[in-house]
Amino acid sequence: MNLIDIPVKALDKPTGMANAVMNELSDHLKRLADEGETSIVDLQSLPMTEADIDELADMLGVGEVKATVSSIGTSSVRETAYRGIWWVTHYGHDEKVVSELIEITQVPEILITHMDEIRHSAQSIAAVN
Amino acid sequence: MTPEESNETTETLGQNLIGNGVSRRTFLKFCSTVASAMALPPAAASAMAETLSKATRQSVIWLSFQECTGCTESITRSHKPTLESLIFDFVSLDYHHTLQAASGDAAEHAREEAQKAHKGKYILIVDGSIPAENNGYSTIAGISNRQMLEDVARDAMAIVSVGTCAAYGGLPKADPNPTGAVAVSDIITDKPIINIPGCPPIPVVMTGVLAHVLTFGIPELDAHGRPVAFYGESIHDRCYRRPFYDRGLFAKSFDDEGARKGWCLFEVGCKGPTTFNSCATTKWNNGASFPIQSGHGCIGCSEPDFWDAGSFYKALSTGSINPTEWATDALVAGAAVGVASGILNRAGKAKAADKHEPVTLEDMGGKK
Repeated sequence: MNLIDIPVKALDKPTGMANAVMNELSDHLKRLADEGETSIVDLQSLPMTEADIDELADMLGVGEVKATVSSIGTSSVRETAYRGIWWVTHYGHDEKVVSELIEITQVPEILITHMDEIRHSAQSIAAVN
Repeated sequence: MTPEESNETTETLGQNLIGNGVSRRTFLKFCSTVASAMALPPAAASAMAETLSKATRQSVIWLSFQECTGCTESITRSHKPTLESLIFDFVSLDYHHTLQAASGDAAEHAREEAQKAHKGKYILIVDGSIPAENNGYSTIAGISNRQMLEDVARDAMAIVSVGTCAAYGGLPKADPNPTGAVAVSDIITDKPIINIPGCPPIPVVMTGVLAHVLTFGIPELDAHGRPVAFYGESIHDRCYRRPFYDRGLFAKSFDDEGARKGWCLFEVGCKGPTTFNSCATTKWNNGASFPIQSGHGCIGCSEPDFWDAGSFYKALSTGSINPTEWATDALVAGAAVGVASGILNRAGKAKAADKHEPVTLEDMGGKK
């Protein structure tokens, strides 16, 4: 018998959490627009079912930017239809989700090249030329 | 003390990681995972990454006393590079007699050197209990466990007791406790001590707590000295089988219909209701499963003296609580009447008082 055969499944229907998160995101986006203040919502810390997550994804829609970061497993970064709201999913080496965040910002931090690495690269490129 | 002050070497962790091919993004991802696992505010990940990258590598001395090496196995058992294993890049493990290449005098000199070089700044990790009955029961390089603990603890910044043995005495302390085993906190009383119990503890709990100590200092602890972030809720409250408990649907043995249908394991001895740990959410083996998901009740391994808390296969209600009273307790308001009669039946069979009563086939739900 496989694990999948055990007839115990989590309750999987929308619970209304997606609406609650949308309200929170609306406040965060307004603060970003008015004051430039960025925020992050950790989806794993909320009691959301898979159906809630799917519903939230539908509500947020799909934007025009999609990026993949490869570092011990991949990270997927997608802008939603609401510009400034980003859906960031970090996967471990086995492609299991290790954290899932909604970032309200101009660019998610995982995409920005850190100045320490830029300085290191500048030395490296100078060394080969 | 800030992490920046805690090491004499000049290379920062950020520089070290870049030199070793670990990108800043990987680093940030690790911090996001730790922040999420510890229920820290999401923005803490960025602050954690920034603080860690400016810190120098933290000196760590790891002492193993009366233990089975399971805790070390747990933290190191990984065949692929995982985010959790990154913690080894953050610390300078200056002494660990199982893992270090040096042996004999050279190994002990490494410990003494680290103690001198990082006086007052190193973290001491301990796994295993200490025999208080007779110092000769367990020695390393001719030094008794108690003496080595007292010597190394004296100049430590903080102590992390990894595993139930170091935290509460564990298996060596189980009745009749032939070595007089005691916990680290029974001997050292003047240093901050973080307990990370479990037999063994979950790897990400160990690495998460270390990352927290390196960045934000000692995390919030509960009455048993455990970080609230990982030990704040019972296994029962986070168990995916909890809805069956609430509906009074219990497996009565390990091969009955209830067991096959994945019902609650309370009646076959699950200690989930009295056990605080994060197995039900963090799980084991890269999140594959945890004991209850595999069909076995929780044995309560992160609680003090769990070895002496009665049979792993007897319902909690057959212990010191009168089952008749228990059956009317508010705790089981949602349970079916049949449950109470099952417990009475079980209580009748349980001459349980003897601490060394062997586990029988009947205890495990089988038929004689």
